[in-house]
Amino acid sequence: MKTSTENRQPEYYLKLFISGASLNSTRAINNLQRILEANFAGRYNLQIIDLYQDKSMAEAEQIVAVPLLIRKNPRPEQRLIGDMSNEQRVLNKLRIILDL
Amino acid sequence: MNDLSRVSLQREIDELKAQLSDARDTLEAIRNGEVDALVVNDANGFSVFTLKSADRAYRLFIEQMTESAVTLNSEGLIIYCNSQFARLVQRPLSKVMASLLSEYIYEEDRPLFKELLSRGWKSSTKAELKLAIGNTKLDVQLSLSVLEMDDDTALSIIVTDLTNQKDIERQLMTKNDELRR
Repeated sequence: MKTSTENRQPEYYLKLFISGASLNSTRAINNLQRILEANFAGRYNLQIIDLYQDKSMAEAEQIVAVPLLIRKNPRPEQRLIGDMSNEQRVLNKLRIILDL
Repeated sequence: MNDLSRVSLQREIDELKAQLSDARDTLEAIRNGEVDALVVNDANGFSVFTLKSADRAYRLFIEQMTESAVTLNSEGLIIYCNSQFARLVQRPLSKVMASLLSEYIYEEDRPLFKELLSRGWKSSTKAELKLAIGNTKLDVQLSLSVLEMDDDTALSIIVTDLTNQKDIERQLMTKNDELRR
């Protein structure tokens, strides 16, 4: 069985909604990239969507405030608003919490 | 109370707890100043309310780019330009503002420019023409698009200096001619 990383589907499908090059949006991208690379390198797919330039996508997701991170996969969907500076909070949202 | 209703009530409580915690997190993020924009669905549909804008980033981008940028009002008057444009037309910035862009267009190209402007107000377009700066002509490309602002519209124009490109084209043509001979 092949287990090479290239053939594996990413475990995490993430969308980060931002508003142009504004302060918290830029911060959120930098913080999130750092956290993802440190913890989930090669296991995630991150899409960054600019609210101003891609309104239809923002509308479809029923967004309230940005920057907003949405974990589309694994299910259930999780959402986090803010500049992603609190690493623990980001990790809590991203990780699947198994309540056994 | 039977076990089934207990389980379903517990599930409902968990769900409500999760919703409450999401709502709290959102409020906290807004209060901490971590939010840049709010999205509201009103009668006009989807609108974005900006709390922290990227004005400074965009302003610096326009001010410091190597391309010339000009904004015109409906009369063709320059209501904004960056310093690169002032350098290109060799005039102080303060003299360029509120002057007519057509003044800088080479006389023979003015009908073309007029036609380009009326096209530009309808949809994005671009064309090559010549500027007249002192006694010299300068090949440029004008790229036009309408800026829809809150309660006003303006025409934004990016002016690209084609001098180098035209020089290279001319050199190529000369070389081709030489080869053909």
